[in-house]
Amino acid sequence: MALLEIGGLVNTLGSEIKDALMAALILGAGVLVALLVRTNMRRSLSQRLPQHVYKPLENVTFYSIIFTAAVAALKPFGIDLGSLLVAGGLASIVVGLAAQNTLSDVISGLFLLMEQPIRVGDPVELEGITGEVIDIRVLSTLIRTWDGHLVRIPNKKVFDAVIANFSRTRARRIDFSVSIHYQSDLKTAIQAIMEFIGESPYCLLKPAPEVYVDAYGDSGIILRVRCWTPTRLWYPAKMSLQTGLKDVLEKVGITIPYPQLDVHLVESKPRYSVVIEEKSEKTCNDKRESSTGGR
Amino acid sequence: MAIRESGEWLFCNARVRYEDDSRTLEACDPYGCSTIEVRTPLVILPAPPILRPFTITQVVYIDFARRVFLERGSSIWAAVPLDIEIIKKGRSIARLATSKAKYRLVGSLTEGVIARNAPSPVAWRPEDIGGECSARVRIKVDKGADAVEGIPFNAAGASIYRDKHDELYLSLVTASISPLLIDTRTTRDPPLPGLEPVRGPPYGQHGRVMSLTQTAVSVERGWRLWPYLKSAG
Repeated sequence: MALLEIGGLVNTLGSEIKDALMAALILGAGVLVALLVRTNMRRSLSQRLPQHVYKPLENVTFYSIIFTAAVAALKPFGIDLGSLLVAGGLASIVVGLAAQNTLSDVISGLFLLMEQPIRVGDPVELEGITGEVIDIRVLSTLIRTWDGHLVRIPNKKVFDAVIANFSRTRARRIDFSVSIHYQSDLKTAIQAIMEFIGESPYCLLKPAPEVYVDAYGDSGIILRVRCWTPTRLWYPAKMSLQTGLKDVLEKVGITIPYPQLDVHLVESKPRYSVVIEEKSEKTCNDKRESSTGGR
Repeated sequence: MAIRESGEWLFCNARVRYEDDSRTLEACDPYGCSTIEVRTPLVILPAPPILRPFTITQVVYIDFARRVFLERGSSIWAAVPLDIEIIKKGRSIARLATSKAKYRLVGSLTEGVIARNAPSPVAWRPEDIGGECSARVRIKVDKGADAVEGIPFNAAGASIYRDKHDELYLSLVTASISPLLIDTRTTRDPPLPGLEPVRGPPYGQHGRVMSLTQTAVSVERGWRLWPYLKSAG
């Protein structure tokens, strides 16, 4: 009897191990297929489609294959997805509640892919983070900040956030101030800046650039310089304009002022007698002499 | 034009110099110079003005000096500047501008397009227009009528032709004009009969630019499973 029982146990264990092996094999094959499909998709699509189109396609395909493989891997255990969904109602609720944040990240990720407020490669600002979108994954969005850090933001936060996308318009404005001395010729300065902008390939002809007096500051006249540039060239354009402007102004004799304060001294009779410092010095010297002479 | 030995060639504001001893090609334009070590033969070819200083647009906007009334059936001529490409075995190894470029936004900020600005007078006959380092463009109005300040067209799709005097032409551009929209189509057809083709698109093809780091990462990610399979086998 005991031998029969042990035999039965071994048989059961053997079939369970077989099922587990089969499930692992299916899952492994699924992952392998998903990886191969993703690699091939990347190789073929990256040459033809922009990054923001092929990356989501690649992600959706990859995770669909993984999901299908996971469902197929449950079959050897006799678990059917349909019956699992029906029978495991309570468990689903419990798991659902536990995984609420994760699920909302997944759903937000799907909405992000559909609505596309941001796309891979877009320069954006969201949740106080500014950088380039590297990837939109199932649970999170990856952003590389301008100083090179990778930031992972859960998709729900991205979906709820106020997003500034800097690449959705064809042109972007550069806007900065420069101060000139009150004694410098205003017209010459404006003309020199306009000529500089006119020669720069970065600044667009239309919308037209603007240079105007923004304010009369404490130390100088503050000029506002504005020019539109193709969105992709905004950063090099800003660097080039701001760096080159000093030389341009200096060439036409315009001075960029330092902060300064004019102090006007008004002559008046002193109300009190002035302490004569010589006397006090003498006193000090006398004291020193007397102290050294005593030795 | 082919480069087979040492020499210097000037194209308006662009200069190309080749030294056979050092096999050095120096290419200079208004934006700077670049040097490359390369063997002859090299070919110098004209290209539409979309390559320098940035390849940010395929569109050229012909900016007329004054408004021009265009109607169905009319045909005008304009001139656009040319860029220059130096080509070795089908690969573009240097690109030069013959004049300084300015760009403009045509249309709205969200729906419009950035275009290379090409100021040009308008002529009704090809002989009345053109110049050094420029190509003649014929714009034929197929539909509509209106006074226009300029015409945008896709220069990257244009072919280049030449006549017996070596004057260069871009292929025919057809336009449909309405008060709110100028719709242009760049054909591959010569603008006049009897022109000889020089070249067609694509322009500025320098092959796939390979970044070493990206390639390494891509290979590593792409074939990550193979070592495991090998060890398993």
